[in-house]
Amino acid sequence: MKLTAQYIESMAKLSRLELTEMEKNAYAKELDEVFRYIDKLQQVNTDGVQPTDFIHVIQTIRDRKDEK
Amino acid sequence: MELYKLTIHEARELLRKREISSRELTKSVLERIRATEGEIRSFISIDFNNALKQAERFDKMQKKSELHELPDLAGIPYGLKDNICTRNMRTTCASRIMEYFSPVYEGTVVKKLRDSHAVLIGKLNMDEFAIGSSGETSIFPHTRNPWSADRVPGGSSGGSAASVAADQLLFSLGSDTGGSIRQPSSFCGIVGMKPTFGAVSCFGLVPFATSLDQIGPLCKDVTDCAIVMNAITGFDARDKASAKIKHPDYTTFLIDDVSCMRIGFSQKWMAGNLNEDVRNAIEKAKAMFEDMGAVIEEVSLPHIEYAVPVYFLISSAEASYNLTGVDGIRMGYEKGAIPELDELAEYVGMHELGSAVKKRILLGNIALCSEHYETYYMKALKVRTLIKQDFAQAFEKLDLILSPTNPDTAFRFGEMQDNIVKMYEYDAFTVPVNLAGLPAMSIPCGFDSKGLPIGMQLIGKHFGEEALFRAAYTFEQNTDHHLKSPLLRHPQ
Repeated sequence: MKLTAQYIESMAKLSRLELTEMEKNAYAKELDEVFRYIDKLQQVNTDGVQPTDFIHVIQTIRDRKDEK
Repeated sequence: MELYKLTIHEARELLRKREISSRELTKSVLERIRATEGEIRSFISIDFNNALKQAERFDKMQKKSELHELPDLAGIPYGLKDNICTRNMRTTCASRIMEYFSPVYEGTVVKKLRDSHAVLIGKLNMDEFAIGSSGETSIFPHTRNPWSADRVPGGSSGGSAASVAADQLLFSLGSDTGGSIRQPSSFCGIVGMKPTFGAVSCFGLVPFATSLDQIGPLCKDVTDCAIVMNAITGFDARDKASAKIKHPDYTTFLIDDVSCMRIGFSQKWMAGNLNEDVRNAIEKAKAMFEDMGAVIEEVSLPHIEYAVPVYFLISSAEASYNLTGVDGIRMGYEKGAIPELDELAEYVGMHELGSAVKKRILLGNIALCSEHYETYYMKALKVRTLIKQDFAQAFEKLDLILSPTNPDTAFRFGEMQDNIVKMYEYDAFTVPVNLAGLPAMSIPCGFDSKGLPIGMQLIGKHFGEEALFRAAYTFEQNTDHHLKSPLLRHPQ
């Protein structure tokens, strides 16, 4: 994936962030570098692996007694 | 006597014997802060009057013998990272947008410490919303490393670490999402602990990445760390990640003996860019454990090299969600007339958030958007499972894993700003611990050729704090690294 200033602009709009031209260019360059680094994850074989969101089972509202 | 230099357990003995009062101790600490704060700049807010009032209230109670048994932290001055909500002191997260935020509720840890009659002195500097590893993203004057004023204290709990290292406080609390307690503790030469995920309630902590955040203590030695753990751990129904377990008395783990302990060590993990002084200090510590009867075993953690990218995807994704609340409606400073809601949020992004925070929001949203969800976010969650399994497998036959806390010692201000990936890789030893929800501690294990402290990291299994404390205490009892203090430019 190649991150361009245009793409950052559209993502910023969706994220409700207003960026200056300078920021758009700088962030595109920096985040592009970051994603190139992150891309090494694609080497890992994750077939059949379950995702982990939380380490323990999270208590839900049902676990909690009604109280004032 | 310079009371501010005391550890918690030393001060506790003197308070119990009534050789000192909490007022004397608190006054000494406040004078120390007055003398050194110009150099260290670890505080965002200090409440001098209220601190003395709390100390006097405790002294009065003790005089009237209203307290049968003094809680361990009674009368002890401490500080909180400024992302832990306090009712009568603002909580800023070192961000412009929360500069005047005064919470109507307080964190569970704050209540627990108040019930222990500890004396809250103030709120400590940090990276904006805890996003950063140097303290440089704070909107307040940047905290300096007590060992070298031109270097960072580390982050994000930079103020929490610097204040304890500079004897401005007897202990502090910080939060650790990817190393934010352990890394600054190692840069400042103190003991910092990230407990098992769920051991300490995070209710009242402004969240960064909810599945990784954990509150923990920063102290002058391992004994103090156990004392603070006793006061802050426990189940809390208001934190949905809080673990329903019976917590032990952590001070019973302070045993000077590591014989037959099985300690894992990974040469492969250490193979990357590592400062030679750090490598030597860790090798020396390893040899020392071996001499004292511990069994050192090579450990294989096959997916550990992927921990940093996994961490950055997950923490950014969770941060981008957690920061949706920061839209300028509920908080934020006076901005005059802005007609549309969308414009307000955009205005906030432009004027009130720092660039490190904005980059994290963008990174998280890019990873979460539908076209990249499977390739990035979901992939990261799956590799997280593999990392968790690596540790689980390793701990089937190990009590602990030993590593450096950081690949290098404290860096200079501005040194890392242009190199985001290098700064990320600085976290290679700390982030896997958060991904797997394990407990870990950073303890001082030497100094580099520049005289800067080096930290050693001990990692335990889930709720395996016993092994952590035992090994850390043994190491501390047989070395003197933790006894050295930085020479400040303007000593009292």
